[in-house]
Amino acid sequence: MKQFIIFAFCTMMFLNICYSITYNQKQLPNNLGISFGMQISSSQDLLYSPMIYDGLSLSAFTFQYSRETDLVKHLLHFSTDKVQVSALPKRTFPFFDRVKSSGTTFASFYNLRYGYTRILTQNDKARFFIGGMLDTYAHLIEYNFVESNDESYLLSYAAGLLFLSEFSITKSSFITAEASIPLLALESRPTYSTIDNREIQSNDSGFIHASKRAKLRFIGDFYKLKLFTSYNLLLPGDFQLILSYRLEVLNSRNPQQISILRHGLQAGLAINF
Amino acid sequence: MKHLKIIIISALFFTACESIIFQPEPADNPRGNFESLWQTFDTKYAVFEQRHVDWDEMYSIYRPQINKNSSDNELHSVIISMLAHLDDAHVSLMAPGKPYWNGHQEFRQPTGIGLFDFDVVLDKYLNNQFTNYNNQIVYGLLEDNIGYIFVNHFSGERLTVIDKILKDFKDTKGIIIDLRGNGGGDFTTGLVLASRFADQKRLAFKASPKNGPGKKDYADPVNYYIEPAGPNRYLKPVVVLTDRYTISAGESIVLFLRVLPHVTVIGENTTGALGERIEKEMPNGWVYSLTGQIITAADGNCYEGPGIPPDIHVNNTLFEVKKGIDKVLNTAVNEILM
Repeated sequence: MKQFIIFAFCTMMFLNICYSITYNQKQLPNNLGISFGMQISSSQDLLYSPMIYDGLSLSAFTFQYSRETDLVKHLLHFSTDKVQVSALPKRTFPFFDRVKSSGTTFASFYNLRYGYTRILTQNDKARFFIGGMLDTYAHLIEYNFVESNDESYLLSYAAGLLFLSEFSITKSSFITAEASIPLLALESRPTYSTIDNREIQSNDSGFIHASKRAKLRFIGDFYKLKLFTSYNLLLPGDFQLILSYRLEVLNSRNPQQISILRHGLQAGLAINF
Repeated sequence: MKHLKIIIISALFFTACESIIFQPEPADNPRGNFESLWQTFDTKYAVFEQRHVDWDEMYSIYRPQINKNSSDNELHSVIISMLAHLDDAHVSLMAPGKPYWNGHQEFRQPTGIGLFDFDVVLDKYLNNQFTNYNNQIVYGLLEDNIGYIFVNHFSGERLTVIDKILKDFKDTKGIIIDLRGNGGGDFTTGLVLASRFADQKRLAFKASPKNGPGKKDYADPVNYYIEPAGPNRYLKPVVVLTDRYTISAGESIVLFLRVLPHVTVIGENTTGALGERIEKEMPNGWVYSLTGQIITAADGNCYEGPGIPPDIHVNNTLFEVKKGIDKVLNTAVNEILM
C-alpha cells in the first residue's frame, strides 16, 4: 500500500509538470481513432513460475472514441495485443524415448474501458478533468514448459478514478495525459494449485467460467495504474495524427501474486466529427 | 528544461515500477535452484502424507549436500535422490543433457517387462482380426463372442469411436476393456468411453487440490460422477484389465468403471499416481513435475501410492506369455462366461 501511494504521487507529479504546456482548441465534439504500435511486456505469475517473462510485440492495437459536451467528456477505449514472452533460453530435454523442446509462452491482453469525466478547471492553455471509469481487463499467459500447457489468467471488472489533462502546444497540436486507478474490482484468477476441478467439469467457456468465479477485491488486494499520454496533431479535413505512449502497471495478490508491466508507443489516426 | 523534467521523472518512475512490482527471481545458482524446487514441492505437492514422506526431513538431509560450487551433475544427483523418496510416477525431472528421470522406481527399473505382450493378444486371441483406431484403440472379437477393447492412452480427441464399437459389440456376451500399460492423458477423454457403460449416475471419486501453502491447505473436495451418456450403452458383463503400469488418467477411468455393478476389475494394482500432474520450472531452466491434488475413491480410500486394487488378483508369468498364454485375459473371459 505504501508503495502504491508513492506510485500515485509520482503520477500526479508527472501530470502537474505536463500542466505547464499551453492548451489549444478542439471544437468538434466527437473523436474516433485507431492506433497501432509496439509494446514491451513483462509479467510474473507466481502461481506458475517465479521467473519474469519478457517480450516485445509490434501488434499492439488501440481503438478510442471520445465525446465532449460543455463540461463532460466521455471516453471509450479498447486495446489488445499478443506477445511472445520468454524468461529463459529455449532448451531441449530427453523425454522418455523422444526429445522435447521447452515450449513457447504467449501473453495476451484485452482491455475495454469507459470513462466519464467532468471539467475540474480550465483556462486558455489547459483543461483538467476528473471522473470515474469502468474497466474490463483480461490477461492470459499460456505457459508451455514441456509436456503440459497451463493457462494463467487475470480477469478484472473494475471501477475507479480517472484523471485527464489536455494542454495545447500550438494552435494545431496538443498533448493529453490520462491516468486511471481502479479502486475496486470483481477479480478472477486460477486456483492456487492451478488444478481447477470445477472448470474441468464445467461446460462453460473459459471466459464465462472465470467470470462466474470472480470475487470482489479492493485496492490493497491489488494495485493497478494506467498512464496514457498522446501527442495530437490536427490535420486538414478534421483528421488528427496521434502519437501515444502508454504505461500499465498491475499487481494482484490473490491467490498468489501476478505482476504485469507493459508500456509501448503507438501511432494512429483519428477523425473529429 | 520543462521537457527534461518530464523525461527524468518518467525514467525514475519507470525504474521504480520494476522493483516495486516484481518479486525477485530465485537465484540461478545451485542453492537457489535447490531452494526453488524444494519450496515449490513444500507448498504445492499434495500427497506427502500418502507417500509417507517428511519433506522437512528431506530438506535437512539433502540441502547440506549442495553448496555454491556444486556442479550441475551434483545438483541433479541430489535432487533426484531426494525426489526418489516420493516414489511418485507424476514426479519427474527434465534437464538438458540428462536422461528423463521419472520418480517411480517401477518406471525407472521396470520389473514387469514382458508380463503383458500385446502381440500375444493380437495373434493368439484376436487371430489378427482387429481394428486399429489411431494406434490408440484396438478392438476385435474374442472366441465365445466376447468383445475386446484395448486402450493405449487417453490423450487426444474424445473417444466417441466407442459408439461405433458398441454398435458392433451389441450382441456380445460381454466386453473386456484392457487398460494394461495405459499411459493416461486426459481423463475427460476417457469418460466419454466409460459413460457408455453406466447404468445410472454414481459417484466415482472426489478430487481435492491444494489451495494454500500450508500442509493442511486443501480445497473442499469436488465430486466426479459417472452417468449414462451416448446413443449406445452396454450393461452386460464388463471386465477391466489393469496392471502396475496403468497410470494417471487410466486409473481415473478405472475409478469410474469400478463403481458399476456389472464391471469387474482383474489383474494387478495400478500404478498409484492418480492426482493431476503439474509442471514447474527452475531458474536454471530445468523442468519438473509434481502431483497437485488428492483423489479419494468412492469407497472412501485413497489409492495414491499403492494403486487401485483389482477385484481379482491375477498375474501373468513370463513362462506362460512366451507360450502365448495371457492368464489375465483368460481369467477375464472365464469371468464373463460364468
